[in-house]
Amino acid sequence: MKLEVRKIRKSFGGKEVLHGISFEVESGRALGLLGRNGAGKTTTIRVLMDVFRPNGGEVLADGKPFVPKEHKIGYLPEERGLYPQKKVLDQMAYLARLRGMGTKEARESGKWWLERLEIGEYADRKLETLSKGNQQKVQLAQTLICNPDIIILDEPFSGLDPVNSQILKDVVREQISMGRLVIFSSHQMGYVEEFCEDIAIINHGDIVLSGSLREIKHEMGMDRLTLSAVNYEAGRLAEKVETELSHLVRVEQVKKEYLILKGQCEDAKRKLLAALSGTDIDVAQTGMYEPSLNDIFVAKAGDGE
Amino acid sequence: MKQFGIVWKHEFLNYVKTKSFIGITAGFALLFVIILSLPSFFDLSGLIPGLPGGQTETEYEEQVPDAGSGGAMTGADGSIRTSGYEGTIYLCDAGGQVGTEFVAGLFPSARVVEASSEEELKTLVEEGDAALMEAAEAIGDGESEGAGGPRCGFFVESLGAYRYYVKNRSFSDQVEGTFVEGISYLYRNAELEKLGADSRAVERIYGFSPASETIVLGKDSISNFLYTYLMIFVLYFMVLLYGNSVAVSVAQEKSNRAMEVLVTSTSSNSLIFGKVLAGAAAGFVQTGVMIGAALASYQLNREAWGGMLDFVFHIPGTVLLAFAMFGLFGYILYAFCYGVLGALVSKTEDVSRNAGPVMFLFVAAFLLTMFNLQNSDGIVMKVLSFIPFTSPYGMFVRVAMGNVALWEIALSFLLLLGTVWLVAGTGAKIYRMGTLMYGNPIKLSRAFRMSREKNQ
Repeated sequence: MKLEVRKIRKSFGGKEVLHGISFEVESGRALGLLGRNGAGKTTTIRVLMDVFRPNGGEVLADGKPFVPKEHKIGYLPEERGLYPQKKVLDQMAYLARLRGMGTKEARESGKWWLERLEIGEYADRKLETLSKGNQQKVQLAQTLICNPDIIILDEPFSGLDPVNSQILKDVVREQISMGRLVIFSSHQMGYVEEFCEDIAIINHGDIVLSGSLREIKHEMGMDRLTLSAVNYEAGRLAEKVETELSHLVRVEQVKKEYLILKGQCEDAKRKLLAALSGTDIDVAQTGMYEPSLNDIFVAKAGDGE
Repeated sequence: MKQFGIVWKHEFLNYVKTKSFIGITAGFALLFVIILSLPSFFDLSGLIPGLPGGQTETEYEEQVPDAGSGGAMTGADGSIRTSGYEGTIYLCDAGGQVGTEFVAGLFPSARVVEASSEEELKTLVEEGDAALMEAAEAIGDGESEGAGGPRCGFFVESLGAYRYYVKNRSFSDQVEGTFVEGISYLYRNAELEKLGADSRAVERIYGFSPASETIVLGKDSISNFLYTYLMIFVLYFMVLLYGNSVAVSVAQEKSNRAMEVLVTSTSSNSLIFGKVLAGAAAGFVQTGVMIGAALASYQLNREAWGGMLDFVFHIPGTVLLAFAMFGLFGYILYAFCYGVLGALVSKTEDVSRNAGPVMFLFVAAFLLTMFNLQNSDGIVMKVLSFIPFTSPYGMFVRVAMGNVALWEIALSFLLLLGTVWLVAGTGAKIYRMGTLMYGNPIKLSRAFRMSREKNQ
């Protein structure tokens, strides 16, 4: 299935908060939906799930209007919430029944997911008696209980220790490999890089970047090189490059261990390597620069953008 | 519809499975059964006048002897009644016109003791007499009132003047009233005899009452009053308790963020309709069990009651139907209002503050109805019976106690249904929007404005 969000606009009380959001995602792939706090990610997800009706634009599934009720959707909201004073399995079964499962099927699936997430012994305990991490796992179990085709995870790793994070990572990878369509929203860029082949960055209600993460990285790294030296620390190395090699490269960023350089002429990489041999710079490492997702996010959604 | 059923069942079980619901329902039902069964097991004729077996009120002519003579009186015509007072009465009859036997005739269950002076009478009322003290010691009670019951006394100067002494005056003290009736009777007799008139003949003339029978062809407001009054209270408490529960339940789901998952799992209409109607069902089940237990218990013990509570329990079918129709939809109307108010706050503690306007409207409707209950055909009650927020009380009162045409009932019910539909529709929109807005409580006016916007 291919899910397309096209030019979604949404206003509240006359104020437009989404100004034409567009992105697409396919089954068996995960999309990283990124943005700063208040950028419009949750509103976009709610429009997608028909909680809010858009003022403009459309959502399509395989080219036809997307009707959430016709699909199995698992949603893990950023604002975690279940019934603290109800038994874990009872409330999971209730929510699963609302999403179309039968009572017996819902309870069996609930038990399976609790076991899968290693919290099977808490099925008959009240939610409020569980630790925060285990409550988080219950929330994930209720997201997946109805074996959804579309999984929307909003900050799924917050509050999990490294062991539980690993369990969750395995589950998410498993779901992607099973052909589920995953929309993954998080501020923890490392996790997004691990799972997502595509990203969409929202800033102030606009999509500022979207597409294949690999292509974005390649594009943003084009004409850029990294350079570190054994005999110069990064600051002094930057001065040296600006003085002696400015006709070939420009220092774009000074990182702690290395410099990011932007080529100023054709075939800058080859020419730089040749020129370096004529200086006293003892090269430790050099190569093509590929930005991290964090760098991309800061560049696109930071205050300077 | 299926999702509505799932929400309804979940919410309904949430209500009825709570310990407080089970406790209150079973407790009150049991209490009604016990209270209404009491006359079958105990003789309560002394406590409840009119119960079979009781002789607390008897015709004066059968019981009250002539002053001073001790013989049975035959002249009075039922105008004076004896009292069932069961204490000790001390009498100091300075004028010698009353006598202990006459007083004993007025109070057949009391012990009447003569006192020689007003001072002695005062002491006796305060401390009791020797017989009382002995009885108190026999049962180990230092306070003689525990053994001999209440004490009081009369110092009679003449038939025209007396002083009443009482140890502890109860709220429902009727001793003095009976005594006044007694000596007034003696005074009238004495004065009539002075005039040479046959006092007994005069008493008969003044005590005359025609043989009569009242046949009510329409409604009897006197006998309908009590059950109407009770049923209005039932509706009042149902809305108050369950309306607030609906608001708290909605606010809780917002506060614990369960709403985030709920609104993406089902429609907001299923959620609010499920909640409101589950609250209605729980309220009706609770009320039904309590009233059912009372009705069944009364039917089983009706003979022991001598049918004296028929006027409470024999409620006409039309009145019950009016209560079910107007009560149910009135409850739903207010429950939707409460549900919407719950959706406008983020914390359960803000519910009561935000519920103020609805509470004010509801209490005002209740008080206006209560103040006009005895004027069920008055203009105020007529107006109340057509306004949808007050008609659940107003029209019910008119059906139970007043004169109302069928078209009026139909019109009022249609107006109520229309308003429920309107409030439910607007409420569902506000609920849908309000449930995902956190922070400070949202003003109702803002919520209405937003509910009118397209593409909510």
